[in-house]
Amino acid sequence: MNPHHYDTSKIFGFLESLRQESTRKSRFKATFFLFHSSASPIKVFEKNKHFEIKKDGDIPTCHFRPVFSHDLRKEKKQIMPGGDFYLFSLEENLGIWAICSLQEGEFNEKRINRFFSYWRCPFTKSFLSSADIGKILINLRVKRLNSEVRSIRSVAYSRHKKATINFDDYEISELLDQINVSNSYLSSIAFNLIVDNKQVLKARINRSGDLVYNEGDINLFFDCCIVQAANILRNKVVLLSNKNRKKYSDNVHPIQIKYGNDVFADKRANQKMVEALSSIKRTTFTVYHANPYFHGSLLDFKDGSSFDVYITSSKTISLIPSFQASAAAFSRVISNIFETIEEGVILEEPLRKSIAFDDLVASTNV
Amino acid sequence: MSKKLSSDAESIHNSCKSSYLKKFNDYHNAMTVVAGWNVIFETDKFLKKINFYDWFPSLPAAQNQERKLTPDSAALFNDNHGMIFEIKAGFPNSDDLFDKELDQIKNYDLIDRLNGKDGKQHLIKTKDIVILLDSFCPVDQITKRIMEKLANKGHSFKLSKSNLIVMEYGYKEGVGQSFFVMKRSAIKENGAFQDLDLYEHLVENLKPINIKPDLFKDYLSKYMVMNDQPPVIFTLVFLWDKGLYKCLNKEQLEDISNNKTFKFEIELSPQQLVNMINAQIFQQGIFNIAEIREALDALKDIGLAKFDKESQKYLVTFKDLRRISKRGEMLEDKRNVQMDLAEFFASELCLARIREEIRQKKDEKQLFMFPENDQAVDK
Repeated sequence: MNPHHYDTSKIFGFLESLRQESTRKSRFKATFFLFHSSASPIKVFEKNKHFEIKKDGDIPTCHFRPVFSHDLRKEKKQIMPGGDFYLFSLEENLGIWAICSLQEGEFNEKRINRFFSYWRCPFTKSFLSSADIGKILINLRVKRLNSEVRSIRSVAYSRHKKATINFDDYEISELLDQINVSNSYLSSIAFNLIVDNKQVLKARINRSGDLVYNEGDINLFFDCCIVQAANILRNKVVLLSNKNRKKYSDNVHPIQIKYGNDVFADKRANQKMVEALSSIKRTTFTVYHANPYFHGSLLDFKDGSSFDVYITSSKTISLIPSFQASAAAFSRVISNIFETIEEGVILEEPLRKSIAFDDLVASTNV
Repeated sequence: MSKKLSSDAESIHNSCKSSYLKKFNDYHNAMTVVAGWNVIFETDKFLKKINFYDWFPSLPAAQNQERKLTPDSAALFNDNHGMIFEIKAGFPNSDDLFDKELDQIKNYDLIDRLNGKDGKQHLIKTKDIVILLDSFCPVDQITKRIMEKLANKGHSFKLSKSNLIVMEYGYKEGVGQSFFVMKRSAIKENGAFQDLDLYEHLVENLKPINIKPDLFKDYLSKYMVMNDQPPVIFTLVFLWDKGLYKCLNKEQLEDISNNKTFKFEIELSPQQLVNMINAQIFQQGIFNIAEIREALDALKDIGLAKFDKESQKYLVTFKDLRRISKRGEMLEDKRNVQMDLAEFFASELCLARIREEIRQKKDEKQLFMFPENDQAVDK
């Protein structure tokens, strides 16, 4: 996606005006939730009783109505906070959008992120791997001479220790190396962009694809972080969409996860796959074959997507979608595999070339 | 009160569970054999030689067209040679049962036509029958026994129009790559392939065929069920994993997506379920009503379905089984760990069987220490 496709001046102007209008300039915070939608989000909000379109136009302002509930067991009244948010079209033709909220955690978590996981929500979010986050931040560093990106606070999860590790005040490349070495994955990072020893931007990115602007050059944040993340989201959505098997067709469209090292060299590592599949919330899974090759299947209760999962070599996992398979469900499975086993590269499985009989005759000690 | 099995009961339960899971694995392995031959026939050496490789065919007997024979797969060659494949996890020891297994092979001798890619049946001139045995069983010993029976003029096992070859299948771990391996039993009495490429490789050179999972995985995902009756665990897994979700209505789908817990009652007859599976999941129906009924009865036994005699319908409770296995008495690990479906169903069916036995023997205290009103499944 080319950043020049955006009418960035309008967006920058809008964001800048929001910042200026903010009563809490010193603690101004804008959270961006990137998502894909094939339908127009504004129409989705118009049809949903929980939303009100306050201002239409290039950058619509929407209101998420508060919800009052009564927990009978706890005899407690609960209020789910309401609030305004803005809708940015990042690449309308490709269905890439962002919701921008100026509110704090509770509204963002309990309302906006929960809405994304709502059944009828036609929007797809995708996770950002450690490599994706690294790519965004290294790109940010490249944009400015004499610059460095330093973590203020980053949280990684160590698979080995089964605990989180904080990496504070690390330079980004150093941080990525540490994460690699410690068999961890990056969960979130708050960072500073420092140019010529001056802080130019302070922001945060988390694994679920939410980006938070705190202070500094908002244009740079948008141009580098948001646009890069939108690129990654777009590529993932394109890669993982429409891969379901079609009725009356014999073709399957597998997605591969490739590793650079022999992740499954020891067949006991197959057990890790069982762990990965069994830990995905609201799914059910079956192991058809555990050793030496792995074949399992998974049903995602959330939207009925189902997949066959194979470990086909020490460096490759294949996911074969069934008749129903959404990009969001694919994302959930891959994200869990990345978190439990190791982060790899996602790609469409290459079309199989003709097979030579001699390939089947080859020694098993290849 | 915690649910605990006595050690005797636990050992009975474990062996029962292993037996269910073995059948489940055997079935999956058999699917892999069929897929493996599909890969072989797609290679450069066979692509031009093969007219059609038929998964789970139903073929007429030569003398009696009404009589249908169902080997696991069959291959029609362009030169009117045919190969018929039968996969067996093992052979029984007792002579009577061993011979009974051979009767099935003997019937395949009656097959004189195979399905072609044009959808028509073609007469075959020559025919190999290939028995594929799990490498965990004593393959050479069984091969010898089969071939001796075949050579024994006084024995009923005779093949007049077919060549018989016994092979074994299994898995092998290579460096960085595992393989599905098939090879011919090397004992001298074993038959030989009529196809020259197979002969050269498997008979003359005594080499195995090694297939990477990458080559057969697509087939395993496409063809989910064989024509041999699937073991009940296989059908149960299929229903829970694919079939029942399709029976949910719009409100239930919304509920399942938005709530952390869900529990639905789905009312259906076995015929409705078969129709739905055939219409929505398979292009051609492969599960039959008896298999589906068996699975629904199994769900009833483990407390996940009720049967209404009047309407002849089942009321299935469809829910996230993770919440049950979390409290399952067999799970040592009490964290939120999910048992895979096959193991869950095997475990629950065995518990139901053991309980039923106890009820009949009225010997509950000896074997178990169950709390009162205990249920196999948390409802």
